[in-house]
Amino acid sequence: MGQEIMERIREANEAVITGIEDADVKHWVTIYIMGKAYKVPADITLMQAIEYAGYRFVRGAGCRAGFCGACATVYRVAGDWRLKAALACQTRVEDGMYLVQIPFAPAEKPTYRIEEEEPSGTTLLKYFPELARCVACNTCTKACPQELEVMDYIQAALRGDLEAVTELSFDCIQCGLCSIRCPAEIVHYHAAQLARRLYGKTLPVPKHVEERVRKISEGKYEEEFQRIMSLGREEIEELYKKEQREKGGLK
Amino acid sequence: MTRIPYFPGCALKDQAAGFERAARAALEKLGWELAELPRWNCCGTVYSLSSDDLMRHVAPVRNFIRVQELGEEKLVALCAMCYNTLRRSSLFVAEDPERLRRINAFMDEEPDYEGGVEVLHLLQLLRDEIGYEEIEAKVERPLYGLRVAPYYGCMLLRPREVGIDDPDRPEVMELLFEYLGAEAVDSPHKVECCGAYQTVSNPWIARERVREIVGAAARRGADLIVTSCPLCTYNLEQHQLPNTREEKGARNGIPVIYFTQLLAFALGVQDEELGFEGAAIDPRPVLAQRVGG
Amino acid sequence: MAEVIKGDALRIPSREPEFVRRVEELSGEDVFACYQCGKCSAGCPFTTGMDLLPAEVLRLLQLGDERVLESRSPWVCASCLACEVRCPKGVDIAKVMEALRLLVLRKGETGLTWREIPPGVPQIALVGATRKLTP
Repeated sequence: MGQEIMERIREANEAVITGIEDADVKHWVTIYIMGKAYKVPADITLMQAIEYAGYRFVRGAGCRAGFCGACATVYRVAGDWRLKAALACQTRVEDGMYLVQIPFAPAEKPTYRIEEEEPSGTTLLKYFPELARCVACNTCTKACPQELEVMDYIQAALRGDLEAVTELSFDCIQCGLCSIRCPAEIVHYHAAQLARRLYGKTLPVPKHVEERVRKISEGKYEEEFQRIMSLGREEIEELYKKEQREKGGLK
Repeated sequence: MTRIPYFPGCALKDQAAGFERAARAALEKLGWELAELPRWNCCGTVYSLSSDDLMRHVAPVRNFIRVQELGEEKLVALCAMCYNTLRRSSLFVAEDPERLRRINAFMDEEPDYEGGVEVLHLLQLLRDEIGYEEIEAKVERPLYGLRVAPYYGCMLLRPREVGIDDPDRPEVMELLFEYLGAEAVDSPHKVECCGAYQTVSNPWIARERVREIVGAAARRGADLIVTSCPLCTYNLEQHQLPNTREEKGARNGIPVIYFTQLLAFALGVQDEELGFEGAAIDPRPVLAQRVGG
Repeated sequence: MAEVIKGDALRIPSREPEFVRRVEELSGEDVFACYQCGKCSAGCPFTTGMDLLPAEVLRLLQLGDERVLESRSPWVCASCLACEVRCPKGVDIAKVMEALRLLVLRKGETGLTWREIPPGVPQIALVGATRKLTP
């Protein structure tokens, strides 16, 4: 009985995706995941290291390519007082790293009907009054793995400059690290998204978008939609693979 | 053109855009240009009154670093709240090098602030650097017959060490209006608080304050109230209409404008640069009636 | 500014409660310098909303009376400094009011609930309210 449990624990702790032969590894580093030490190859990303150490991602991993923002991670390196932030899929391990993932930032996400909202700073402050609490400490900017000037866009939001918020926040991947670190408890990325949407309202709609929307509402694609909706799982998979092959994406 | 680094503050980029627009136009007539500080951030609006809260001084000091990066030493503000907060913070860090050292250490992504930036209010610039006589010489539309009540509020005058004039009997605005040809209407409430940010938490307090302030100006026959603060303006406008209907002489409300708008009007700035369209109570009828177009 | 005449003669250090010491530390002010002339209360434009007049706030602090901690007066004070320029003893009462707020705010409690925000209020009102009334 006892042995069976130990066996199950051992199994559960085996690397989920390693693809790495220990014999090939020349350099090793020690990292601490949630306080526990693991010896991992020196050249891999935090995400690979977490998996190498035996963890299986249920949340906290997405595109694995730096776009989705799901793998926000905070860490310190032994001997350095700074608390750093990074995307696990985009950052190499360092010896003596203490890390934990923050796969989700608890944040109020107000709902609004964008077509009813006036594109102004007043609208932003209506939904995100905590913008007024910014103390210009710049901690958000230091935490941003995308290297955005986060504080600058919060300041622009406060003064109602939607265009500047849009420009400065455009590459935000909504990982939430800014909001986790903010002493003023601002939800930067949701505020920036509203600002971009409001700013978008002030821009002319591109012709090709207008054209496509017209065709959709005229029912041009209805038949094709219905056909796909009626397919079974295997047919859908086959269709997907076929399309990817045609695009040259899937071998 | 003489250029001077300029801190706008958030409200001047939004609700109080006319305050800035008129200032720029008026100063251009006087040969001065407001050079907006690059990458400025909100000053914090209210000065921290606690002895140990260095974090609240980070925002002002970050702006001083921007001034330092330009190789400049002066910074002019239009908004009275920005002026007060920036000026007090500049003194706070000048008083004790240890405070500044700790703030600089915290902002390790910025060059160190070395001290020495002098914060001015635009009224000081007009009075002390440009001079009222110089302004008088450039008046194109003298404000004869216009009765103007200055409203100072708190932040231009208190505390004494940052006040731009006597805290009880200021005259910097009265003199300016008289040089422009107007008559300054005195009122005992001109240096009393409008309710400030209590308009968010206890709006009834602001309403009560405004009833006294506007009522006093109305009883003394003021055509206009003139401020230097977007929050004073907001309170005086928003809270006067439901309250002063019973006050004699204020049946339609008294327009509240910024001193830069009155100055620009007198200097003959074109209407579209005066920013009056942002006012809750339109000042144009009374200006047209008293002064003419 | 009036020269600060210290209030040490009124102090009984052994009977001074911790919260009074903390208020003096946070404000940097000597609450025992107050001699209850009442000029602050007379000039305060916010007294109709206060349960304790500014001079009474100082008096309760001198007495170490904890009821001052429950007072709504610091939350009605708008730091307009009318008292500060009038005090003949150089006590900056606005700083004392701020210290009393901070005793509450630094425990994480708030003096402002969000959804009261009037539409179109300028940013400086919100920034001011949040800085003075939220933790």
